[in-house]
Amino acid sequence: MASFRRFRPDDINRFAKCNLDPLTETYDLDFYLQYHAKWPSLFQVCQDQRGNIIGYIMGKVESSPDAYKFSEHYLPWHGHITALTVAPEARKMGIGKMLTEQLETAADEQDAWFVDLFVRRSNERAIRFYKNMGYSVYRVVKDYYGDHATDPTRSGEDAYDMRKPMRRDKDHRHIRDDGEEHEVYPEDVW
Amino acid sequence: MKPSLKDGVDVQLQTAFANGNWPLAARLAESRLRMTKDPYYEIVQVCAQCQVDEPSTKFAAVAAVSRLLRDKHPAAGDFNALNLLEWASKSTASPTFFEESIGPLRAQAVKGRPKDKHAASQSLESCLTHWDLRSAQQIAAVLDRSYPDERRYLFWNIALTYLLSTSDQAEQQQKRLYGTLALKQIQKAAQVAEQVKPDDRSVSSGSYRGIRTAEEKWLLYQIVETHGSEAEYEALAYSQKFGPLNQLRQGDKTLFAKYTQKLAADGNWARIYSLCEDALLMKTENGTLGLLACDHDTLELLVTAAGHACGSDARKKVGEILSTLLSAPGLSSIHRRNILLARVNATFTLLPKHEATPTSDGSNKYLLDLCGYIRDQWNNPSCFEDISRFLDLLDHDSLRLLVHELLPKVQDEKELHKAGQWRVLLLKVEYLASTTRRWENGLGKLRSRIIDFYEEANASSSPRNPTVSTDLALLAAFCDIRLGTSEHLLHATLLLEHQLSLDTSQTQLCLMLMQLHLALGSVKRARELWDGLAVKRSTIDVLAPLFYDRLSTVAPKMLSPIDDMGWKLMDTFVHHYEQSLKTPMHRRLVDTLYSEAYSSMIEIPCFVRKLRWSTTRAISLVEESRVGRLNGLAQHDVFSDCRFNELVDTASLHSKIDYGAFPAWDSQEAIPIHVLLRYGPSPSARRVQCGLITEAFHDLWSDNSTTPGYKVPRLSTQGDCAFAAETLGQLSNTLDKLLLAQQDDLTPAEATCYELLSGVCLLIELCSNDQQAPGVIDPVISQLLDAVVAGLAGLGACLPKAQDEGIEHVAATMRSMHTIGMCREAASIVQIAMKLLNDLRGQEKEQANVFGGRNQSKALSAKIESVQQSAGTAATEAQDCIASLGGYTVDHLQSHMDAWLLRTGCMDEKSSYKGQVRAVARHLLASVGP
Repeated sequence: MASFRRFRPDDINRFAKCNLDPLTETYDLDFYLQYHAKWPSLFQVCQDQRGNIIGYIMGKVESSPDAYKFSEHYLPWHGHITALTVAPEARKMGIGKMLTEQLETAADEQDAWFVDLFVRRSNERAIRFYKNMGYSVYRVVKDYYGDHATDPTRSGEDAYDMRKPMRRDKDHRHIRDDGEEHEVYPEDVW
Repeated sequence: MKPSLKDGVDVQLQTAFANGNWPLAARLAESRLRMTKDPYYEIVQVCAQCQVDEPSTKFAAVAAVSRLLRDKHPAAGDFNALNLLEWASKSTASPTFFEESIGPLRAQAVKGRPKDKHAASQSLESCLTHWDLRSAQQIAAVLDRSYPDERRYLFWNIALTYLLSTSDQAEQQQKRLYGTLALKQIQKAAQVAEQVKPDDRSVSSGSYRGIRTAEEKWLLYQIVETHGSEAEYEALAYSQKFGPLNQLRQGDKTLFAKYTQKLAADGNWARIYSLCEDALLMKTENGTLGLLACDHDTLELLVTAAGHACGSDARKKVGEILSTLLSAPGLSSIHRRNILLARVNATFTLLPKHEATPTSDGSNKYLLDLCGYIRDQWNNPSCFEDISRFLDLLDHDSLRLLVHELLPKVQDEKELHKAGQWRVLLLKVEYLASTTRRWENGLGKLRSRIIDFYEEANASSSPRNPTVSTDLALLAAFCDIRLGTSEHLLHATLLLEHQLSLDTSQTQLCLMLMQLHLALGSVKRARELWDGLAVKRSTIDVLAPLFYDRLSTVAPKMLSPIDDMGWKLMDTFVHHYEQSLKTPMHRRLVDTLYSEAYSSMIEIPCFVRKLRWSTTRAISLVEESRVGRLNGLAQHDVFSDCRFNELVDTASLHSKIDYGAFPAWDSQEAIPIHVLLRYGPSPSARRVQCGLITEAFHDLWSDNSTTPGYKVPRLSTQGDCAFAAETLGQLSNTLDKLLLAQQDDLTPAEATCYELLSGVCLLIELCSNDQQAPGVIDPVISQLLDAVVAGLAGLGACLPKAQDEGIEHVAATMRSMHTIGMCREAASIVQIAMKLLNDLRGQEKEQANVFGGRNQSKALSAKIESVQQSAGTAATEAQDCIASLGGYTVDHLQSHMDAWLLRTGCMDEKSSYKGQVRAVARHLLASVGP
């Protein structure tokens, strides 16, 4: 049994089911409150019948600073998925999909060109999930992560910057078919 | 952050100030003041002076602010000067200083220069982070008046007026006024929006003064709910612009949830039913069901409302709605599950017992619908949690029928005999049944069956399903914990350790195992497990008590800041509060202004207030101070700690532990497993405040003699004595009030210890009071001393006695570590108090010899001596208990544990987890220490 709604600060006190999972990062209070304060409609949770949070998505809408307006890496007004997590026992029920759709709706309402996210190149499950939801690789960010999820001998791992066009991008100007061929470096990503 | 000096100040002064060259900066500022007569330089001089570490100048900034307020100083309207003073007075100002002085000065300055938008915004931000709502509201009102074309100032003003109307910063009468003001303002904005024509372009302009955004609508609901009449709130539902269904149609269900919650609180069930029905059956533009409202909460509300409002048709009506929803094309699995479970809920809630029509096999509609759900969802990991509340509603016969006949039939029908997950589900149902009062079958047999299946599931010949094995290990451990003996707790530990070695990252296993190790006193291993769980940052407040609460009474060494790990553990705890509560209100509140997120603006302060007044925050001080003291470090300065000052007298502390990650497999009638494993009741305001007072008591009488080369007795002067007596009186007074409340929130050992503390405080007060006649006072003192002896004896009687040897003794003693710790604590309190009594009586005797005075009773002196001895004996007995654990080796304990668990039938020779005995013996001994 699940209900979807906007995040409220008190939800942090019910995060155990999600955040005790080793794959979910717990941030400082400031981080959660920042998203709640600035982009409340892009911070959504799913709760079970006991009120425990069994999934949540945190996102934002922004564009690159104006100083980069003429850079090839400039990002226009867009939504960004910062974190998406579902408690282990609540997986494979479509909760992640619904949370992502809610964020996309909110991004559409705020007139975003696209929604993007970063995912480890080795995280095949997540990449498959996002591809099924209409996301595609826009570019590869070399050594974006300081460690490698599956190979401890390697000191870094590439990220896929994946995107899905929103209503505003009727002509799909901000996505690429051959994104995996486009490599950039972490300093090109703001 | 240090502010920079205003533009136009010469480079020399700018540099001296920026570099922190305070004497030079002060001198330069003085000379610029003489030259320019600009009062700003006077403020610069004061602020530079108070950075010099001298007592005479330390409070200069605070004094300067008072002067500005009193004398209407020309610098009072200078924002640059106010920024400087705010920064310079930060470290010396009292908690109320800002709202009494800087805040009003800022509000006054904004009124003086209403067109200075930047300065006004900056002042507003400052007032919000210092949580001075009164000044913040005034500034917002000025901004709104000065810039009527900027709509966001209107809503800032309304939101802040509303916040003030609900805060403690306004008096009751003013609250009403501010409430009415906020209501009128938002209603006016709503009216503008209602009257605007659809094609009016002004709606999208920045000067439009009507409600436009979802956040503004939320604010409207919030204010009308708080300050409006019922009719005004009800009218929102019918509003074309603001009705909750209208919002839902636009994809926002926040207002629908908010509105129906309020209606439910008011018991307006007919209206809720109609809204829920409309929301659930709402269609999209292309005519299909929208399903946006198809949440558990809405469906639950629908069923409850139907029960109240729809009479005998309730079940039929709800059934029709649910059937329509189920037929929606492309229904997601989560929605389908919600609807199916709502159907079960409708049967249990709306079908009267006499209509449940028993069938020939004794079954009934409740059971049939429940079985239907299980048949459909058994493969879902959350199936058991979904149905558990309905199991709790079944009577004994129905429960038996379900467990013994109906579920086995489902098993046959779907050929699920070999499906591990199905078998686990059956065992969970049976386990829950066994935790109800109406179930007569013993847990022992169920436990044996679970362990047999566990061994089978983990046998090398069958492919292992980690979820099935983990659930079985946990179920068996649950049975063991309910059985409760030391051998069963040890057995549960072995089993879970074994399972954890197979599934290293399973959170539920780690949590349960950590609690088991804590219960067994095996704290070192518990600490390793806690580290693995990586509890940190934001979740500390609600998860830390799982590990830290009362830990210093059990194993103070584990938290010792001398040890790296101990320091890290304590630091994680303390750092979270320091970071999150750095300013009176979290700085992110300011972001809500600029993002115009009014729901966040109202919610964040409530959350921060609960965090500041949380029992966990109090525990962080109690544990930190007690750990330091018990490890022989310098006494923590409790009285200067903001946690003590803010929390010790706060009437309502907030207590919450997040048990969400623990398996919830017990009947609601039973005490949850995680509670059974605790050292005692969950944190309460009373308990943590007793803990704070105990630490303050130690701080009051400590001489910090452990600080190398620094030995200053605290009571060296008459002033010290007066301070100590006064403080003790306050502590004692608070403690007495706390102890008057009869609650079950203390362990017996804690209750005795705090009673003893209260008793000795009274003794010290009586002996310090030379106005009392000995004939009156001595018998009272004597009686109090008798009570202290009785209290100590009571604690001593709770200590484990060395009747057994080997593992039985080790387990019994280690499970009693909290009692042993509290006994030592009580003995230490009494020893301090008796020493003080002796000192006080010694001083009195000296004075009597010189000036003449009351004669001291020798009998009383002897009695004090004897209480001191009793305390010494209690401390020694507690110490002996711990010392009695010292003679064991891992080999010795392993063989004892092996034999004991085999003898008691907890384990057999073939048990796959038998290999864990040595590891568990090692863990137990690793935690033994003074």
